[in-house]
Amino acid sequence: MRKIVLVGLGFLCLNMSAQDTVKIKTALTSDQEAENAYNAGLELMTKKDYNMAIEQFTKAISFKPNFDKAFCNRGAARYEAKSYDASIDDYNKALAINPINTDAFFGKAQSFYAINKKDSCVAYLSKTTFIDDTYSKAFYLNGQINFEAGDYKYAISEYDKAIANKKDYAYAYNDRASAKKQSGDEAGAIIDYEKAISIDPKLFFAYNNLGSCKRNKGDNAGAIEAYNKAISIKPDYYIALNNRGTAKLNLNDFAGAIADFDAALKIKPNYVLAMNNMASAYIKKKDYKSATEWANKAIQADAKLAAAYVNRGIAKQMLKDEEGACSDWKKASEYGSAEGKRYTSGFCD
Amino acid sequence: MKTLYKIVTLILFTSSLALAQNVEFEKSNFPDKKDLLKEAKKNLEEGKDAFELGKKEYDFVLEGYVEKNKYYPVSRKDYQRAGDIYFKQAQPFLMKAQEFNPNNAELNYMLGVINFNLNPQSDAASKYLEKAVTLNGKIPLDVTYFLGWALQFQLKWDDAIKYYQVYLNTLSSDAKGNALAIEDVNKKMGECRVGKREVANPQRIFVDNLGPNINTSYPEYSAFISADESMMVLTARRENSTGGKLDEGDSWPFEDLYQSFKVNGKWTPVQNFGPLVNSPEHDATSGLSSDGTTMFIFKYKEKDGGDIYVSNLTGNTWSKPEHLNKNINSKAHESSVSLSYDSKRLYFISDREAGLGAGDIYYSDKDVKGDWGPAVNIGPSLNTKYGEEGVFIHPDGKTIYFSSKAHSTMGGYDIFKSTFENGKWGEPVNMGYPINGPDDDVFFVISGSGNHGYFASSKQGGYGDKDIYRITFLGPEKPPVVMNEDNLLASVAAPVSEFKAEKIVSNGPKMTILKGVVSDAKTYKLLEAAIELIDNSLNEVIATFKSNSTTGKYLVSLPSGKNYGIAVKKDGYLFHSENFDLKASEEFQEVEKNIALKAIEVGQSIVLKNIFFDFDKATIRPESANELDRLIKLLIDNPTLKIELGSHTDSKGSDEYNQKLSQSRSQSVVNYLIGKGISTDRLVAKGYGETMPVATNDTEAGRQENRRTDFKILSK
Repeated sequence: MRKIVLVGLGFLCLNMSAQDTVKIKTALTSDQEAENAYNAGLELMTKKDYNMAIEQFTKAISFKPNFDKAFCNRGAARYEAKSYDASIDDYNKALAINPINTDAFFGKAQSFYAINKKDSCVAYLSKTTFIDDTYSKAFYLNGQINFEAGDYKYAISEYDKAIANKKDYAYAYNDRASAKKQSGDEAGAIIDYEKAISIDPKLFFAYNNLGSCKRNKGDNAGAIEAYNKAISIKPDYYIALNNRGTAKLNLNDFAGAIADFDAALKIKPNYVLAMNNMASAYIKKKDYKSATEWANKAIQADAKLAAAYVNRGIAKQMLKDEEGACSDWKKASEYGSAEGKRYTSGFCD
Repeated sequence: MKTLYKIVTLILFTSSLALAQNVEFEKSNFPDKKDLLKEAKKNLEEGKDAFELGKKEYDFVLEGYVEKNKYYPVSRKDYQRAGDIYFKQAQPFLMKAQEFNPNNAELNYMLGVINFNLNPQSDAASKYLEKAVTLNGKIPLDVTYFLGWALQFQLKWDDAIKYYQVYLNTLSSDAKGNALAIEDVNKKMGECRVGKREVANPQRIFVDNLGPNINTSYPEYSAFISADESMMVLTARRENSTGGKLDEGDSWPFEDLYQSFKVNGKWTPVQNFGPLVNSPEHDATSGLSSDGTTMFIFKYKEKDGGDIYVSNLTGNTWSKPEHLNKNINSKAHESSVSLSYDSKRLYFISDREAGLGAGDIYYSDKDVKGDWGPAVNIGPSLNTKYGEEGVFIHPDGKTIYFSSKAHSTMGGYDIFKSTFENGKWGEPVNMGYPINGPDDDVFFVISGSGNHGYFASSKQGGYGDKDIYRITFLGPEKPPVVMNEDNLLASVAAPVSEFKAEKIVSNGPKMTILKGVVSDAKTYKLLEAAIELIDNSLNEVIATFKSNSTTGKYLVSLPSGKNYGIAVKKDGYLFHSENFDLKASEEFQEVEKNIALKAIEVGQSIVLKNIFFDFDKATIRPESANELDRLIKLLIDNPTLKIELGSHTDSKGSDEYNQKLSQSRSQSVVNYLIGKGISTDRLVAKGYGETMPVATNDTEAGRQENRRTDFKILSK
């Protein structure tokens, strides 16, 4: 997923690089060295050689101290190199030279986001869109921040603006779909996920998310179809395998579900969700001994996994180990499970 | 069900049966087996003679039953084993005849009827009766009635209905006396329809035999448990029963009462209650209070029709059973009894006259003198003309279990549950299969938690005759919790998780069981103390219990929906108080609280848990009256005592504010006591503010503990 971040939000100042390069070629001869270094920096950025790019931008700045775009792109390179404080410093310098540099404002917002200073991030996003109300990436990032804060309604309005300014913004469609899903509008979410996929058919996560929406709506066959797509694009996508297993479980295809959970575990052996779901599958299959074994594995991997305690309790109850069941449900309750609490109060003396 | 021998053309019954030829015991049918035929005919005649005597007795009892009750028998119990002695005599002769000639309709009919009466749950009865029907012979019309009932016992509901219908078709609605027979067959067909529905939707339960510590090859039944399932009393008919006599009626030993205790999750071997409780006659368990200290005993004497006695546990000794008064015991038959959680109402079964049927549920309330008042019929919502038996009121005070031959039974007595809501008992709900079946299902009791039930059954695989079984109620199926996650945000690496489990609804009882041990705080000696249960909203003592003098144990049932004060008192000790504010929605819980009573000595202090103030004020709320009256009584009984009333707050609010509030509150208590005549110089008011916490102030539970009023003895 980090790759997605790079493609989606990185290289802030690259967008302007083509026209700027033209400009630079017509600039004063005395700035030739700065221009060459700047262009070399851009080239290195595309090769993801950020440290060398930083050197080239630094060189460009040394030849031309008021070169705001060089500051801006060095900020972007430092961001990619995870030197967030240094990147903010560069964006500040770019803004000192050009106070309406929206890329610098946005870059600064992105860096604040990276260091979890979300209030500052929002403030700079606001400055970005104040200067340029068509800056779709800023609306997108603001949508994301609000999504993470659980304000899905506001997030959706921000994604709306991002999409209004960039009609083929596949990520924004995906994220708006997710915000709709989280606010209960599964039907609206499905439409947006499908739009994201139509724009970029390689968006494996959008297929996965679409599948989960369909599963939640009870369309397990449709969900399996979507998960199949996600897995065909990304064969090691264990999340989709686990989800497909759940959809199969809903259809009482126990063998299929178990095979999917098993495949997810082959890719990620410590994947506790799949271990827990194995226990769920065996409970549904009424093989309570195997269910107990899988819940044991999940608990061994994560001693606070409430769901696994709930499931092990269910299996133990069916194996007539009432005391063991109640002990597990009490644990689940301690770890925040509503089911654990309910079963403890309802079925334990 | 008059036995009408007619030539039955079986084709009239049904066209779907493949008819076979009836083979009479005649020479022409066995030309080469003259001697064997002679022997077979002899057996047949001997067997038939005994069978007819049995059938005559059966019909006689049946006619008498119908005459008396105005309906046909529903339960096996109704027949009182009529004809069984003759049927047992007939059986071996008829079986020998059957070995020689298995294709005689009348012989198959007789064997079918015998098996139906002696062992109705086996498939032998239906096997013979079905064959009797298929053989084109001379047999009584009631063959299809018996066959229908035999098939009902085997849960073959559709086939049973089919044969009942055939029998129904033979009953002319104009004929005298047929109206009741028609009603009976229609009822049985209705039972089959209920049975079909219930069996298709079985209850999620485990049924486990309680094992050799409880059960033997002799009959064990009528088990009762304390609400916390720590003790059980039951009836058994064992060889070594008190007096060692056999009942002439059935040649089994007389009934005795036995008890067992649960230790480390297992029932201990049963022990006979001994001669103080058991007599050489029939002594059977009839009920047990939820705390296990009051036991009701059924004793049968012909002149009183069977009455109820009560025995109380003091220390390790059960008192000599005492006959309950005439409001409970009549000349008719009284059997099952159940005491309400507060020991103030007794539910019981009686078949006294003026009831709605044979065996109705009645209740009686304890009057101010502690005597049982007039019996009140619980009414037609539960009682029917067909009879009820085995009443059990749950300690939650509003759920009643009983057996009935009516309502939606699937045959014989079935166990039903009804809930008291909006001032009336709701429609009885069948407890479902496999708790209930087509045979008699009675004497069901359930634990306080509602998770376990106990009943007696003769089911196969037991230790012999009736055994005690435990039911574990699993509740609605618990769906497993699945875990999923999605990459909801395109630009964020961390997936977003979701956990899903379908909701299930718990129908468990809403109550709290409070139990523990009362002891001396200094010497640890186990104490017998009085435990008062107070409804704080009414300031009324609603029940009084005692802890056991030997074990110090006590158990109190608290149905949800009230603010309870609990006061534990003993002379020479400071009283101990507890408060349980149980909202109506409060789920079942079992709270263990051991109480150490403090002797009245200088420096001793106790917390007064039932003194309440208005929020943020020093005004004493009315529901504190009972606790304050107890304190006044203590000061009157100990006139030299000088005490300090201390008040404490949690750490919310400023130090200064809390100090002032606590001082005002302690002064309010002192003022109340002075107002009730306690001398000022015996009382000191002290506000401690938040300076002496007894629990953390970081949680609401801790803060609640810290907000308290206590008193300390300054001098004696």
